[in-house]
Amino acid sequence: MKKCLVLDLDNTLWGGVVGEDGIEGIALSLAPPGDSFIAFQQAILDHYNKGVILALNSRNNLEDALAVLRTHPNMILKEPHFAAMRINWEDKAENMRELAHELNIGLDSMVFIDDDPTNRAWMRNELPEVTVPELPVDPARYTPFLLSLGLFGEGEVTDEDKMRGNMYVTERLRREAEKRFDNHGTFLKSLDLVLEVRMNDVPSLSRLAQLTGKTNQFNTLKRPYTEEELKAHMESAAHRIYSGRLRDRFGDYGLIVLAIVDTSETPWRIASLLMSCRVFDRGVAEGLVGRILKDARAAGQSNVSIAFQKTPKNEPAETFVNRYFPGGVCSVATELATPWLTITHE
Amino acid sequence: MNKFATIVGKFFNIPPEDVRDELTPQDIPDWDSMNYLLFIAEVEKEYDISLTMDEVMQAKTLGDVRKCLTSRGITP
Repeated sequence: MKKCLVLDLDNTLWGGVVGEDGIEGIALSLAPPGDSFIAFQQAILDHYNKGVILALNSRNNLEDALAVLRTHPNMILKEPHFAAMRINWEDKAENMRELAHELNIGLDSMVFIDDDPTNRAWMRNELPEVTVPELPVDPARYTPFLLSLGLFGEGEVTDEDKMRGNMYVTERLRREAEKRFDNHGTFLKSLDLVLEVRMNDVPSLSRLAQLTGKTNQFNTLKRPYTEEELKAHMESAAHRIYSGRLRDRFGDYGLIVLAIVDTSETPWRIASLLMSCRVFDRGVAEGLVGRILKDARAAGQSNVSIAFQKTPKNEPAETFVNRYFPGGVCSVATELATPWLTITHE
Repeated sequence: MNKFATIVGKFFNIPPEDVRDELTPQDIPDWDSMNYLLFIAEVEKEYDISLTMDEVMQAKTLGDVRKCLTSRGITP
Protein backbone atom coordinates (compact mmCIF):
# COMPACT_ATOMS: atom_id res chain seq x y z
CA MET A 1 0.00 0.00 0.00
CA LYS A 2 1.28 3.47 -0.91
CA LYS A 3 1.83 6.15 1.73
CA CYS A 4 2.69 9.35 -0.05
CA LEU A 5 1.26 11.35 -2.94
CA VAL A 6 3.88 13.59 -4.56
CA LEU A 7 2.39 16.31 -6.74
CA ASP A 8 3.40 18.67 -9.48
CA LEU A 9 1.81 22.17 -9.47
CA ASP A 10 1.30 23.85 -12.90
CA ASN A 11 -1.45 22.08 -14.89
CA THR A 12 -1.71 19.46 -12.13
CA LEU A 13 -3.13 21.34 -9.11
CA TRP A 14 -4.23 24.35 -11.16
CA GLY A 15 -4.61 25.16 -14.83
CA GLY A 16 -1.86 27.14 -16.53
CA VAL A 17 1.66 28.15 -15.51
CA VAL A 18 1.84 30.53 -12.56
CA GLY A 19 5.27 31.86 -13.61
CA GLU A 20 3.76 33.05 -16.90
CA ASP A 21 0.07 33.59 -16.19
CA GLY A 22 0.45 35.05 -12.69
CA ILE A 23 -1.63 34.22 -9.64
CA GLU A 24 -4.66 35.97 -11.16
CA GLY A 25 -4.29 34.14 -14.45
CA ILE A 26 -4.18 30.49 -13.39
CA ALA A 27 -7.35 28.42 -13.90
CA LEU A 28 -8.87 27.84 -10.47
CA SER A 29 -12.36 29.29 -10.63
CA LEU A 30 -15.74 27.59 -10.45
CA ALA A 31 -15.98 27.66 -14.26
CA PRO A 32 -14.27 25.06 -16.46
CA PRO A 33 -11.45 24.19 -16.54
CA GLY A 34 -10.85 25.63 -13.02
CA ASP A 35 -13.63 23.50 -11.53
CA SER A 36 -11.82 20.28 -12.47
CA PHE A 37 -8.69 21.43 -10.64
CA ILE A 38 -10.66 22.44 -7.53
CA ALA A 39 -12.35 19.02 -7.56
CA PHE A 40 -8.96 17.32 -7.95
CA GLN A 41 -7.55 19.24 -4.97
CA GLN A 42 -10.52 18.18 -2.85
CA ALA A 43 -10.02 14.52 -3.85
CA ILE A 44 -6.35 14.88 -2.81
CA LEU A 45 -7.44 16.50 0.48
CA ASP A 46 -9.74 13.49 1.08
CA HIS A 47 -6.62 11.31 0.77
CA TYR A 48 -4.81 13.53 3.27
CA ASN A 49 -7.76 13.21 5.66
CA LYS A 50 -7.45 9.43 5.43
CA GLY A 51 -3.77 9.60 6.39
CA VAL A 52 -1.93 9.82 3.06
CA ILE A 53 1.18 12.05 3.23
CA LEU A 54 1.26 14.86 0.65
CA ALA A 55 4.40 16.37 -0.86
CA LEU A 56 5.27 18.72 -3.72
CA ASN A 57 7.83 18.20 -6.45
CA SER A 58 7.55 20.95 -9.04
CA ARG A 59 9.50 23.24 -11.33
CA ASN A 60 8.52 26.75 -10.28
CA ASN A 61 9.94 29.81 -8.67
CA LEU A 62 9.41 29.09 -4.99
CA GLU A 63 7.88 32.51 -4.29
CA ASP A 64 5.32 32.15 -7.15
CA ALA A 65 4.23 28.74 -5.87
CA LEU A 66 4.06 29.81 -2.22
CA ALA A 67 2.02 32.89 -3.15
CA VAL A 68 -0.63 30.62 -4.69
CA LEU A 69 -0.54 28.16 -1.77
CA ARG A 70 -0.83 30.94 0.80
CA THR A 71 -3.16 33.46 -0.82
CA HIS A 72 -5.26 32.05 -3.66
CA PRO A 73 -8.84 32.06 -2.31
CA ASN A 74 -9.91 28.93 -4.20
CA MET A 75 -6.95 26.72 -3.22
CA ILE A 76 -8.32 23.75 -1.30
CA LEU A 77 -4.83 22.49 -0.51
CA LYS A 78 -2.85 24.91 1.66
CA GLU A 79 0.80 25.01 2.63
CA PRO A 80 0.36 23.07 5.93
CA HIS A 81 -1.12 20.06 4.10
CA PHE A 82 2.27 19.32 2.54
CA ALA A 83 4.74 17.45 4.72
CA ALA A 84 7.65 18.31 2.44
CA MET A 85 8.28 20.38 -0.70
CA ARG A 86 10.83 20.52 -3.46
CA ILE A 87 9.91 23.56 -5.55
CA ASN A 88 12.96 24.36 -7.68
CA TRP A 89 14.56 23.91 -11.09
CA GLU A 90 16.52 20.80 -10.14
CA ASP A 91 16.14 17.27 -11.44
CA LYS A 92 12.75 15.90 -10.32
CA ALA A 93 14.18 12.43 -9.70
CA GLU A 94 16.80 13.89 -7.38
CA ASN A 95 14.05 15.90 -5.67
CA MET A 96 12.15 12.65 -5.20
CA ARG A 97 15.12 10.96 -3.51
CA GLU A 98 15.41 13.92 -1.16
CA LEU A 99 11.70 13.85 -0.34
CA ALA A 100 11.90 10.13 0.49
CA HIS A 101 14.86 10.82 2.73
CA GLU A 102 13.26 13.82 4.45
CA LEU A 103 9.97 11.97 5.04
CA ASN A 104 11.81 8.80 5.98
CA ILE A 105 9.75 6.59 3.67
CA GLY A 106 10.69 4.23 0.86
CA LEU A 107 10.56 5.33 -2.77
CA ASP A 108 8.33 2.29 -3.34
CA SER A 109 5.63 3.82 -1.14
CA MET A 110 5.49 7.03 -3.21
CA VAL A 111 3.15 7.92 -6.06
CA PHE A 112 4.13 10.74 -8.42
CA ILE A 113 1.41 12.77 -10.18
CA ASP A 114 2.57 15.07 -12.97
CA ASP A 115 0.73 16.25 -16.10
CA ASP A 116 3.92 16.27 -18.19
CA PRO A 117 4.57 12.92 -19.96
CA THR A 118 8.28 13.76 -20.24
CA ASN A 119 8.60 14.17 -16.47
CA ARG A 120 6.73 10.92 -15.93
CA ALA A 121 8.95 9.02 -18.36
CA TRP A 122 12.05 10.48 -16.73
CA MET A 123 10.87 9.50 -13.25
CA ARG A 124 10.03 5.94 -14.36
CA ASN A 125 13.40 5.63 -15.97
CA GLU A 126 15.42 7.08 -13.09
CA LEU A 127 13.43 5.67 -10.17
CA PRO A 128 11.47 2.58 -11.23
CA GLU A 129 10.43 1.99 -7.58
CA VAL A 130 8.22 5.10 -7.67
CA THR A 131 4.68 4.54 -8.97
CA VAL A 132 3.97 6.95 -11.81
CA PRO A 133 0.37 6.67 -13.03
CA GLU A 134 -0.52 7.83 -16.54
CA LEU A 135 -2.52 10.95 -15.65
CA PRO A 136 -5.31 11.58 -18.22
CA VAL A 137 -4.80 14.52 -20.58
CA ASP A 138 -8.19 16.08 -19.79
CA PRO A 139 -8.22 17.70 -16.29
CA ALA A 140 -11.93 16.79 -16.02
CA ARG A 141 -10.75 13.16 -15.83
CA TYR A 142 -8.17 13.78 -13.06
CA THR A 143 -10.55 13.24 -10.13
CA PRO A 144 -12.24 10.01 -11.34
CA PHE A 145 -8.77 8.77 -12.27
CA LEU A 146 -7.33 9.38 -8.80
CA LEU A 147 -10.39 7.88 -7.10
CA SER A 148 -10.16 4.74 -9.19
CA LEU A 149 -6.40 4.20 -8.71
CA GLY A 150 -6.89 2.15 -5.54
CA LEU A 151 -3.25 2.55 -4.50
CA PHE A 152 -3.83 3.90 -1.00
CA GLY A 153 -6.01 1.24 0.54
CA GLU A 154 -9.58 1.80 1.62
CA GLY A 155 -10.41 3.91 4.62
CA GLU A 156 -13.38 6.15 5.08
CA VAL A 157 -13.49 9.77 6.17
CA THR A 158 -15.89 9.76 9.12
CA ASP A 159 -14.93 13.07 10.71
CA GLU A 160 -18.01 15.29 10.34
CA ASP A 161 -16.10 18.51 9.74
CA LYS A 162 -14.00 16.93 7.02
CA MET A 163 -17.03 15.36 5.36
CA ARG A 164 -18.73 18.75 5.45
CA GLY A 165 -15.67 20.33 3.82
CA ASN A 166 -15.76 17.77 1.00
CA MET A 167 -19.46 18.40 0.55
CA TYR A 168 -19.17 22.20 0.42
CA VAL A 169 -16.58 21.99 -2.30
CA THR A 170 -17.97 19.21 -4.48
CA GLU A 171 -21.62 20.27 -4.20
CA ARG A 172 -20.74 23.83 -5.08
CA LEU A 173 -18.93 22.66 -8.20
CA ARG A 174 -21.92 20.50 -9.16
CA ARG A 175 -24.37 23.36 -8.63
CA GLU A 176 -22.22 25.62 -10.73
CA ALA A 177 -22.01 22.96 -13.47
CA GLU A 178 -25.77 22.38 -13.35
CA LYS A 179 -26.37 26.01 -14.34
CA ARG A 180 -24.87 25.21 -17.71
CA PHE A 181 -27.51 22.57 -18.45
CA ASP A 182 -31.17 23.13 -19.36
CA ASN A 183 -32.12 19.59 -18.59
CA HIS A 184 -31.59 17.73 -15.32
CA GLY A 185 -31.15 14.36 -17.08
CA THR A 186 -28.40 15.71 -19.31
CA PHE A 187 -26.70 17.21 -16.26
CA LEU A 188 -26.84 13.88 -14.40
CA LYS A 189 -25.40 12.12 -17.43
CA SER A 190 -22.53 14.62 -17.57
CA LEU A 191 -21.53 13.77 -13.99
CA ASP A 192 -20.33 10.23 -14.86
CA LEU A 193 -21.88 8.80 -11.70
CA VAL A 194 -20.52 5.46 -10.51
CA LEU A 195 -22.20 3.54 -7.67
CA GLU A 196 -20.01 0.83 -6.17
CA VAL A 197 -22.14 -1.77 -4.39
CA ARG A 198 -20.73 -4.01 -1.67
CA MET A 199 -22.15 -6.74 0.47
CA ASN A 200 -21.23 -7.10 4.16
CA ASP A 201 -18.47 -4.50 4.01
CA VAL A 202 -16.84 -4.99 7.43
CA PRO A 203 -14.14 -2.28 7.05
CA SER A 204 -16.88 0.38 6.68
CA LEU A 205 -18.81 -0.54 9.85
CA SER A 206 -18.26 2.77 11.61
CA ARG A 207 -19.53 4.86 8.70
CA LEU A 208 -22.49 2.48 8.19
CA ALA A 209 -23.47 2.77 11.86
CA GLN A 210 -23.14 6.55 11.58
CA LEU A 211 -25.51 6.55 8.58
CA THR A 212 -28.19 4.61 10.48
CA GLY A 213 -28.05 7.18 13.26
CA LYS A 214 -28.02 10.33 11.17
CA THR A 215 -30.34 9.67 8.25
CA ASN A 216 -33.83 11.08 8.78
CA GLN A 217 -35.47 11.81 5.44
CA PHE A 218 -34.75 8.83 3.23
CA ASN A 219 -35.01 6.17 5.89
CA THR A 220 -37.68 3.46 5.88
CA LEU A 221 -37.16 2.57 9.52
CA LYS A 222 -35.52 5.07 11.85
CA ARG A 223 -33.47 2.95 14.17
CA PRO A 224 -29.81 3.58 14.93
CA TYR A 225 -27.70 0.43 14.76
CA THR A 226 -24.44 0.00 16.63
CA GLU A 227 -21.34 -1.31 14.88
CA GLU A 228 -21.68 -4.54 16.86
CA GLU A 229 -25.27 -5.07 15.72
CA LEU A 230 -24.36 -4.45 12.09
CA LYS A 231 -21.37 -6.78 12.37
CA ALA A 232 -23.57 -9.52 13.85
CA HIS A 233 -25.96 -9.08 10.90
CA MET A 234 -23.08 -9.32 8.43
CA GLU A 235 -21.87 -12.53 10.02
CA SER A 236 -25.32 -14.11 10.27
CA ALA A 237 -26.56 -16.32 7.44
CA ALA A 238 -30.02 -14.79 7.86
CA HIS A 239 -29.03 -11.27 6.81
CA ARG A 240 -27.14 -9.38 4.17
CA ILE A 241 -26.07 -5.77 4.43
CA TYR A 242 -25.79 -4.04 1.08
CA SER A 243 -24.07 -0.68 0.89
CA GLY A 244 -23.01 1.64 -1.86
CA ARG A 245 -20.53 4.44 -2.33
CA LEU A 246 -20.92 7.01 -5.05
CA ARG A 247 -18.43 9.03 -7.00
CA ASP A 248 -18.59 11.31 -10.02
CA ARG A 249 -16.36 13.62 -11.96
CA PHE A 250 -16.33 16.14 -9.09
CA GLY A 251 -15.41 13.70 -6.36
CA ASP A 252 -16.23 11.05 -3.86
CA TYR A 253 -19.55 11.21 -1.98
CA GLY A 254 -18.42 8.33 0.23
CA LEU A 255 -20.77 5.68 1.59
CA ILE A 256 -24.26 7.03 1.09
CA VAL A 257 -26.75 4.18 0.82
CA LEU A 258 -27.46 1.13 2.94
CA ALA A 259 -29.97 -1.75 2.99
CA ILE A 260 -30.36 -4.45 5.61
CA VAL A 261 -31.97 -7.49 4.01
CA ASP A 262 -33.46 -10.44 5.89
CA THR A 263 -32.85 -13.41 3.59
CA SER A 264 -34.20 -16.04 5.98
CA GLU A 265 -37.79 -15.26 4.96
CA THR A 266 -39.66 -15.81 1.72
CA PRO A 267 -39.97 -13.33 0.22
CA TRP A 268 -36.71 -11.65 1.23
CA ARG A 269 -37.48 -8.61 3.34
CA ILE A 270 -35.68 -5.28 3.27
CA ALA A 271 -35.70 -4.50 6.98
CA SER A 272 -34.14 -1.09 6.50
CA LEU A 273 -33.28 1.09 3.51
CA LEU A 274 -31.65 4.46 3.93
CA MET A 275 -29.82 7.01 1.84
CA SER A 276 -27.94 10.22 2.64
CA CYS A 277 -29.74 13.43 1.67
CA ARG A 278 -26.63 14.46 -0.29
CA VAL A 279 -27.59 12.13 -3.11
CA PHE A 280 -31.33 12.65 -3.49
CA ASP A 281 -32.40 12.37 -7.13
CA ARG A 282 -29.29 10.54 -8.27
CA GLY A 283 -31.14 7.21 -8.55
CA VAL A 284 -28.89 5.60 -5.96
CA ALA A 285 -31.64 3.84 -3.97
CA GLU A 286 -33.00 2.47 -7.26
CA GLY A 287 -29.53 1.20 -8.10
CA LEU A 288 -29.08 -0.58 -4.77
CA VAL A 289 -32.58 -2.07 -4.73
CA GLY A 290 -32.06 -3.20 -8.34
CA ARG A 291 -29.03 -5.17 -7.22
CA ILE A 292 -31.01 -6.74 -4.33
CA LEU A 293 -33.80 -7.76 -6.74
CA LYS A 294 -31.23 -9.38 -9.02
CA ASP A 295 -29.70 -11.36 -6.17
CA ALA A 296 -33.17 -12.35 -4.93
CA ARG A 297 -34.10 -13.61 -8.39
CA ALA A 298 -30.88 -15.62 -8.56
CA ALA A 299 -31.80 -17.15 -5.18
CA GLY A 300 -35.18 -18.27 -6.55
CA GLN A 301 -37.34 -15.55 -4.98
CA SER A 302 -40.16 -13.98 -6.96
CA ASN A 303 -40.71 -10.91 -4.76
CA VAL A 304 -38.92 -8.76 -2.22
CA SER A 305 -40.85 -7.06 0.59
CA ILE A 306 -39.96 -3.94 2.53
CA ALA A 307 -40.63 -2.73 6.06
CA PHE A 308 -41.77 0.87 6.38
CA GLN A 309 -42.50 2.96 9.43
CA LYS A 310 -43.67 6.53 9.01
CA THR A 311 -41.91 9.29 10.92
CA PRO A 312 -42.51 13.06 10.79
CA LYS A 313 -39.51 13.44 8.47
CA ASN A 314 -39.31 10.41 6.19
CA GLU A 315 -41.64 11.36 3.37
CA PRO A 316 -38.92 10.86 0.71
CA ALA A 317 -38.59 7.22 1.80
CA GLU A 318 -42.37 6.83 1.80
CA THR A 319 -42.60 8.11 -1.77
CA PHE A 320 -39.96 5.60 -2.86
CA VAL A 321 -41.68 2.68 -1.10
CA ASN A 322 -45.10 3.59 -2.53
CA ARG A 323 -43.66 3.86 -6.01
CA TYR A 324 -41.68 0.62 -6.18
CA PHE A 325 -43.27 -1.50 -3.42
CA PRO A 326 -47.03 -1.10 -3.88
CA GLY A 327 -48.66 -3.18 -1.15
CA GLY A 328 -45.22 -3.61 0.43
CA VAL A 329 -43.74 -5.92 -2.24
CA CYS A 330 -41.76 -5.52 -5.43
CA SER A 331 -41.47 -8.20 -8.11
CA VAL A 332 -37.90 -9.30 -8.85
CA ALA A 333 -38.67 -8.67 -12.53
CA THR A 334 -39.08 -4.93 -11.89
CA GLU A 335 -36.69 -2.73 -13.86
CA LEU A 336 -35.45 0.24 -11.86
CA ALA A 337 -33.97 2.26 -14.69
CA THR A 338 -31.28 4.82 -13.91
CA PRO A 339 -29.54 5.25 -17.26
CA TRP A 340 -27.13 7.94 -16.00
CA LEU A 341 -25.73 5.70 -13.26
CA THR A 342 -23.03 3.07 -13.75
CA ILE A 343 -23.25 0.34 -11.12
CA THR A 344 -20.21 -1.74 -10.27
CA HIS A 345 -20.00 -4.71 -7.95
CA GLU A 346 -17.07 -5.83 -5.93
CA MET B 1 -37.57 44.51 4.84
CA ASN B 2 -33.85 44.01 4.38
CA LYS B 3 -33.10 41.62 1.49
CA PHE B 4 -30.34 39.73 3.29
CA ALA B 5 -32.55 39.04 6.31
CA THR B 6 -35.32 37.87 3.99
CA ILE B 7 -33.03 35.34 2.30
CA VAL B 8 -31.73 34.14 5.67
CA GLY B 9 -35.29 33.81 6.95
CA LYS B 10 -36.42 31.85 3.91
CA PHE B 11 -33.56 29.32 3.87
CA PHE B 12 -33.10 28.86 7.61
CA ASN B 13 -36.74 29.11 8.63
CA ILE B 14 -36.42 31.94 11.11
CA PRO B 15 -38.35 35.23 11.28
CA PRO B 16 -36.32 37.84 9.33
CA GLU B 17 -36.64 40.26 12.26
CA ASP B 18 -34.66 37.78 14.40
CA VAL B 19 -31.68 37.76 12.02
CA ARG B 20 -28.50 38.90 13.82
CA ASP B 21 -24.88 38.94 12.70
CA GLU B 22 -23.73 36.80 15.60
CA LEU B 23 -26.03 33.82 14.79
CA THR B 24 -24.23 30.50 14.13
CA PRO B 25 -25.35 27.01 13.05
CA GLN B 26 -25.79 26.24 16.77
CA ASP B 27 -28.45 28.95 17.06
CA ILE B 28 -30.35 28.00 13.91
CA PRO B 29 -31.71 24.42 13.82
CA ASP B 30 -32.16 24.45 10.02
CA TRP B 31 -28.59 25.62 9.31
CA ASP B 32 -27.25 22.28 8.09
CA SER B 33 -24.70 21.74 5.34
CA MET B 34 -27.26 21.38 2.58
CA ASN B 35 -29.37 24.40 3.53
CA TYR B 36 -26.25 26.48 3.95
CA LEU B 37 -25.18 25.69 0.38
CA LEU B 38 -28.64 26.52 -0.96
CA PHE B 39 -28.52 29.75 1.01
CA ILE B 40 -25.09 30.64 -0.44
CA ALA B 41 -26.34 29.90 -3.96
CA GLU B 42 -29.28 32.25 -3.40
CA VAL B 43 -27.05 35.00 -1.98
CA GLU B 44 -24.77 34.70 -5.02
CA LYS B 45 -27.73 34.87 -7.38
CA GLU B 46 -29.50 37.76 -5.63
CA TYR B 47 -26.39 39.95 -5.43
CA ASP B 48 -24.84 38.67 -8.67
CA ILE B 49 -21.51 37.73 -7.07
CA SER B 50 -19.40 34.60 -6.72
CA LEU B 51 -18.02 33.81 -3.27
CA THR B 52 -14.62 32.14 -3.02
CA MET B 53 -14.14 28.68 -1.56
CA ASP B 54 -12.40 30.22 1.46
CA GLU B 55 -15.32 32.58 2.12
CA VAL B 56 -17.90 29.79 1.90
CA MET B 57 -15.96 27.39 4.08
CA GLN B 58 -14.72 29.82 6.68
CA ALA B 59 -17.97 31.62 7.44
CA LYS B 60 -18.92 30.76 11.01
CA THR B 61 -21.69 33.31 11.56
CA LEU B 62 -24.26 35.18 9.49
CA GLY B 63 -22.10 38.25 10.00
CA ASP B 64 -19.22 36.48 8.22
CA VAL B 65 -21.45 35.94 5.19
CA ARG B 66 -22.65 39.54 5.31
CA LYS B 67 -19.04 40.74 5.41
CA CYS B 68 -18.43 38.93 2.11
CA LEU B 69 -21.03 41.30 0.64
CA THR B 70 -19.78 44.49 2.29
CA SER B 71 -16.21 43.68 1.18
CA ARG B 72 -17.55 43.84 -2.39
CA GLY B 73 -19.08 47.26 -1.77
CA ILE B 74 -22.59 45.87 -1.40
CA THR B 75 -24.86 47.09 1.39
CA PRO B 76 -26.91 44.03 2.24
